[in-house]
Amino acid sequence: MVAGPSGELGSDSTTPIVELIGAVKRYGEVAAIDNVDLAIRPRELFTLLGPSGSGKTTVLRTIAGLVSLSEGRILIDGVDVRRTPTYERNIGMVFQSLALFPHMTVFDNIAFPLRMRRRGRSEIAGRVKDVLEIVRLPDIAERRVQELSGGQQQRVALARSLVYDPKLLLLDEPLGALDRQLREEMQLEIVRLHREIDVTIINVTHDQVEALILSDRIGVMQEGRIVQVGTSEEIYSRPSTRFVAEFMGRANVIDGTARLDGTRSWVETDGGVAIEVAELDSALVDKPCAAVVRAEDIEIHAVGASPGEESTGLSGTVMLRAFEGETVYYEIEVTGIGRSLKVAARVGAFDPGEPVRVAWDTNRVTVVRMDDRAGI
Amino acid sequence: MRNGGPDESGAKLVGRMVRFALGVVLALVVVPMVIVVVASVSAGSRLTFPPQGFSLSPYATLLESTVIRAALGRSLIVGLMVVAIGLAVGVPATIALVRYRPRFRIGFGVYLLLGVATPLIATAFAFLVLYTRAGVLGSLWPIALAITVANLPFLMFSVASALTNLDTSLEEAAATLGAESVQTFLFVTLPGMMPGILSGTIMIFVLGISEFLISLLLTTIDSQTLPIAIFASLRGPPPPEFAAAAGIYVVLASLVVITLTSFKTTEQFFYRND
Amino acid sequence: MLESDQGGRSSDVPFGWRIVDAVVALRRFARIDRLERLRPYIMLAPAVLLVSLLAIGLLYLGWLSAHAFDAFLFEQGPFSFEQYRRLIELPSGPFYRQTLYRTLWISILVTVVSLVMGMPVAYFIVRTRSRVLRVATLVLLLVPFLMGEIVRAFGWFLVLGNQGLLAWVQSWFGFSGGILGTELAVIVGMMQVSIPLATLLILPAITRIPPLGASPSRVWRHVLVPLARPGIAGGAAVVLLLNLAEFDMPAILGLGRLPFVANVIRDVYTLQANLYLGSAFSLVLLMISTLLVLGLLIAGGAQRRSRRVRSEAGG
Repeated sequence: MVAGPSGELGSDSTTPIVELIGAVKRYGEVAAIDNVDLAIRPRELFTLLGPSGSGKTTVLRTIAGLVSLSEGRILIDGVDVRRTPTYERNIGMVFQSLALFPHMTVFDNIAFPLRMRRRGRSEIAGRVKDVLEIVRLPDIAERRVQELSGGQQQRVALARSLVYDPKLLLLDEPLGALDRQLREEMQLEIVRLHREIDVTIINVTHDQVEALILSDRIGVMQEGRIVQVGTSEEIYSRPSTRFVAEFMGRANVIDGTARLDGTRSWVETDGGVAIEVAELDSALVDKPCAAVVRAEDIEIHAVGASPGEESTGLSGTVMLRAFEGETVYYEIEVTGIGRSLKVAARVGAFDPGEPVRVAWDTNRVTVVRMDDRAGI
Repeated sequence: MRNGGPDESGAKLVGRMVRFALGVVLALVVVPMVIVVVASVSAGSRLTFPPQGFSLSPYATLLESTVIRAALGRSLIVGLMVVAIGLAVGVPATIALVRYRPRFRIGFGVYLLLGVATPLIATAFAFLVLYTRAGVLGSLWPIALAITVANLPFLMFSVASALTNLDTSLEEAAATLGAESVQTFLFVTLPGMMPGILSGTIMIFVLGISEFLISLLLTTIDSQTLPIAIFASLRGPPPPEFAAAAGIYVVLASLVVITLTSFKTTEQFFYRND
Repeated sequence: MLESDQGGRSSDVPFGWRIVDAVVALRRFARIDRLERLRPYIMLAPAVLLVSLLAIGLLYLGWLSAHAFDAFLFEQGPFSFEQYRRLIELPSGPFYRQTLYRTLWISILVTVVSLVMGMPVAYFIVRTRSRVLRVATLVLLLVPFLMGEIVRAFGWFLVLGNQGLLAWVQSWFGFSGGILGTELAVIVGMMQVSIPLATLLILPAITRIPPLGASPSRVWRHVLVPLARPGIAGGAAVVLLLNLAEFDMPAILGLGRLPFVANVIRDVYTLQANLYLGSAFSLVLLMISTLLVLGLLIAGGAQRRSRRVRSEAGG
């Protein structure tokens, strides 16, 4: 073998199975996806997370070839697929509506991709039987699709897109329409399938809990752009933008300006309150930014019971209390930070109207840059 | 809202009016149909009321009458031609309008409605002058063409309604599963459209065999279709075999309508429950 | 990818697939994909061509109507408005005009009555809780439409004719005198398809109106009629178009004494063999009907008033 440029690509495990490079899709003036760069690693379960209209489904559809890019490239297994039509991409996709063929039986639905590949009758029968066992639905092959329950239909749709062993499985919010219990059951099912089968999964959802549970990595999308890519842990604890912080759940996003003075760094709000932070990206100094404090990281103390010196202490007033089972949810108005703080506390001893002090560990505060675009 | 006395009596009044209107309308619709069927099984050489007795002799006479048999045969041929032309022309056009959204979509749509937007007599006369000029009067296919133009929208509406209800993600799913466009169309789109195509086909077939005004102007004495033959019989009290011919139409139309409404889609077509 | 899979085909693939494969291969070979952009237009072309037959016919109609016609030599004369003049001037002008007026007033009357009668029927179909009643009513309304104009006329002839049902009922009560040959007979005959058609056409408009808490009479007056207006206007247009071309009822139930435009046009053709005059009369009817239909559609599209009424009723 001649050592060539291909040697520089490194081992197979690091070659992305899907790669988007500068991908843009415009509908008229509007960019549904805007300069997206994304690399999906083989065998990972990657989730595209974002609110509706953020372009996550469009990304998925461009990978499937159902939508063609206005600019940029998509590589699947290192090959540019611009000229490869959907039906030759050998991709499995489960649609939001599931798109099971209503005029066919379960067997015919699952056999469809095998028939399109002109497999023989005996092979088809065997494979359909096997895949139905994998999704734990034996003995329903002859039923009509409409006779199945919602969960069964989900499994049939999964079986149909797995039966031909695609390397890549795309999930376009197929769990969105299910009730909570069934959704959680199917989430675990997907995790199990991913563990058992050699397949890369790209999942699209607007449900951050689902994303956190399922994913090896998450890409958060906002207005057609990918704003952060990382593991569940990274995205949750260290959001990189204000939008990600707000979208990932109960976070207090306090706008202000980053300040650095010697070893001390803090975010100064317009109201003059200083939020101490442990770390500060030097690029942000004296720029508008936001301090993010998660609701569960805040402690509430009665006035007088003074907290330790290393914590930030701010005084405020309880505005709202709601019992939530494991935690008690408070909204506490603190003067000078522009909004009331959301707090998920373990104790419920404070009444609305009561003056309190709130404090948190400065290590738990993240400073994020403001979003590129106004709007959120 | 108020629940006073005047409104309540108003409600009753409206209810009574609705029932009255329904009764009158159904009587207007049903009585002539029933009379035709009764007449078609009447004994006697002339149709009078009350019938002189009941027998199936009108149908026997109809089968013996070469004139009526020939006319019936021509009507069936015209009906089949209308179906063939209508399907060949209407189904692709409907798919193009509903699925591919071409430029000037509305313009195309309106243009294809021309046959319905023109009073039938003007349509008939336009084809008459055209065919006279072309020298094709007396054949059946020109009649079928003209009838198809006038009834094409009925087929297209039916197909379009089925196609609109067909989830586009079914076709996309077929593509991801490895079906290119021919197979997607054959195995997914076509079966999904089938109810609409079927009801549309039945509808234009029946409209084709019962069409009157266009045929009246475009048929010659040698190419009379059945409706024209029935018309010619109505100079005086009609002979019973023509009642049998008319009876066939009533029974056929009823069967067709019952079949059509038993397709769920047709009921939805007229009565959407969304 | 697919190509690599095809090497592993088993031998027990059903034969039908070979045909499909042949079609797919043929498409590839012909490289029809190049025509992707043109595809909708190619698919529309046959239908457009077919309808163009009518369009050409109508244009030709206009061409003929603007020419003189020599009835003795049976020849086309020079360009002239002679045909239109004959529709207006003596000796036959008054007859044509009378025919046109009769066609118009009876058609409009029948259309209006059909809508008035059709609204409660549509309301019944939409609101009845019994599926059987709803389907049965729909079936009965659709049958006259499909059985054809001539069979409808035939049925009415048996009802209203000299020895028909009506005469028999009348003789029971000891009086006679049929209505055959009168406007009433024609109008009643036209109703049989007009009302069902009106009902079916305004049905979607009525269905779209949500049931409100108000009493039926209020709903009827303030919501139903204004909200359904565009649908009603569209339905009225179609029913009117149908009625304007009526032929059988005047010919058979009117005993030919009360001809409509269609009857006269046919007579001009069969008795005088004059395509030119027939063309002119056809065009006059086409223009009048187009104006009426456009007027109706514009009236139905004018939403401003209905929106105001809706906000009043919504409270």
